Amino acid sequence: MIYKIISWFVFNPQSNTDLKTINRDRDLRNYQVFSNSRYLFFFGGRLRTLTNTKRFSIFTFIIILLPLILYLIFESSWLWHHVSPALVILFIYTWFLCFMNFLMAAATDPGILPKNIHITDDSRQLPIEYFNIISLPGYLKNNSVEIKYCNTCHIWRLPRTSHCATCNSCIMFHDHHCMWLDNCVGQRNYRYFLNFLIFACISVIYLIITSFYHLFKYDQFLPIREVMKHIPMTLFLAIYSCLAIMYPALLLTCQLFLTMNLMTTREYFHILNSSPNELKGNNFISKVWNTNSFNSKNIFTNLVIQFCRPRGLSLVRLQDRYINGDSRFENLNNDKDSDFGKYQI
Amino acid sequence: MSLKSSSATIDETRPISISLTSSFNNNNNINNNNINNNVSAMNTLNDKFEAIEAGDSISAKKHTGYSQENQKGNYSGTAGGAGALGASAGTGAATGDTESNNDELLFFNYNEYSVYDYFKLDSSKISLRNEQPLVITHFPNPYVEMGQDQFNKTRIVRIPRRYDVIGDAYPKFSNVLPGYEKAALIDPYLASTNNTECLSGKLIVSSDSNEDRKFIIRGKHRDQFFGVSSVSPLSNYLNLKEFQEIINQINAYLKKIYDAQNYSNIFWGILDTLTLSLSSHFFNNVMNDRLQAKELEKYVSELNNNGILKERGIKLISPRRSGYLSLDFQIPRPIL
Repeated sequence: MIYKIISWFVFNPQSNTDLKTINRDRDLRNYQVFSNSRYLFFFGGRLRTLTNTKRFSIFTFIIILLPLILYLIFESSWLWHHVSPALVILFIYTWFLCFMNFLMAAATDPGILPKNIHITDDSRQLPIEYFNIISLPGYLKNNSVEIKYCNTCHIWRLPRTSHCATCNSCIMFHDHHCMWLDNCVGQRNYRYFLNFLIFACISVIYLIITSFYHLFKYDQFLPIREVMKHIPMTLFLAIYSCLAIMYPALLLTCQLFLTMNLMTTREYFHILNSSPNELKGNNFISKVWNTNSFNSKNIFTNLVIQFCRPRGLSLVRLQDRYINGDSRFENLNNDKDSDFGKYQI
Repeated sequence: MSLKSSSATIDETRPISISLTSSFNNNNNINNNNINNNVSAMNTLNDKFEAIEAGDSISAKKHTGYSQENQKGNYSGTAGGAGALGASAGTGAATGDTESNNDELLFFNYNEYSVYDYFKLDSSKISLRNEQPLVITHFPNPYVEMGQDQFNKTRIVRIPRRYDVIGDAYPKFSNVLPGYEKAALIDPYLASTNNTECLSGKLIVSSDSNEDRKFIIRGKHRDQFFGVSSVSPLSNYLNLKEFQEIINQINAYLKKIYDAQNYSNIFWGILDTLTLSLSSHFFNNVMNDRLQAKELEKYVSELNNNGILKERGIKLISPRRSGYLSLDFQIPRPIL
């Protein structure tokens, strides 16, 4: 009985011990059968993370949590009494914003597409036409939209979708697979990812300002070396935050540049690798601006579309009841753990 | 290598655009989309059969060739293989083609494909090299359990999704029956020469030849019956007008679900951010996209249970279940 409660909290569909705790004849949910993904599910399928990575997300979690704990223990009382209580509350609020966005970016659905929707009769050898890149007319007259068939998921992908091998699924508007989050960044996740970077930078800048202020205003008459001996933790926080701002700020500028061009990171790397003769434009920025056929040619509209794009509906509903024989959760490829024997014509 | 427009018979196959490395494809001029004679098609088929006999998996061979090219970022290979009639649209520049930029891309049903090895109706032997390819227009049903009764008795007709929406903001399905698209294949035994024009190698069918868009069985492949045109068995159950009504309604719902630029969406986004993403959990059912999604589900279930689809004996699979990738109609298996 207690195993049942634990299995609601943490469930690994690929492990046999977790599968034994559920009664297979009734009340089986979709996430419990989802063994051809690499996910580990929490809280009844609502949050997820990957099982086959080196767990960098725990490292990121510790890096985010550590300054808050040190701040609350060492800094907050001095700031509360000597400057204002509002500073402390504001820092806690921005820290929580950063943390909640981290949680949503790392543990929710990035926009995975269901598998095995576009299956064919010729299951062993796909037809030649399915290996091509198809060009279809786009919105404007000379634009073209290119789509491909994903051989692993057996679907015709949407334009800016691609298959992530770590997560083993096709993801809508696939930006990149972030190893610090242990999750892909896709359409349903992108807003949280951007907000996470923004609020991380804001929190860290805030922390820099308050720690240096504390250092300089602690005692006006002591030299700095003596002050550092009295409040070593403030010095630690100041140095820590100076180091911690570098990487998120870099990522944030890159992502904002790509957002203004309504482009994914994958397309950007594609451009970097392609030969320069094929791109229109005089300098690098105009090349990036002109390549993307979805660009609405207005920076402000692009930003609004990316930030305020509706999150969309989840396309693989993991908390629904499992219907027997649901082909989305079966493995129809020719590898060793496939259900290929069942699919016979 | 220009296309022979004067003698362009309707026997020509659909332009097969191969985006593979040139070692695989015998035609060097990849961007010549219309394959003039069946020799080149035969050559690719030869490779296919040889590879099968040699024992290595042809899908793996093609896949690596294709993915390597893609990783090099070489636009020439991929753009040169861009599909659809007359599709070069200026992206084939790197292969040295001289196609003009005035060719318009035409929409076609990318779900269908052609096979050459099938049983003709009047023979019991499978013929590997038929001249006229069979066009596969209906597919196995992934929404029921495989191997069961329902799986053998029903098939799926897929309506493809169009991508001519700005920013690909919302899903939109093609609002013509399969077989009525501009670049659809037509049955050579039915179409009269009055209705077709050959303009510089492209086959353009005028719009008042709708009478001969019927699903006519010509061959049997893998135990299923198919025709030689792009028309699917769905045309036996719905005519164009009824179909368009359904599709336009569904497209309208989809647009409302995914519309990104209205003020309420911006308001909910900002509120969500400021309240630590908790307001989206509590106010889920008030937000517009969930309401519209429920309306869509209601519409589909009403069609299936009370409406026109129930009378005809077909069923529309809920678009959310198929991931908004294609709109699927479940039809009974076509039999002779």
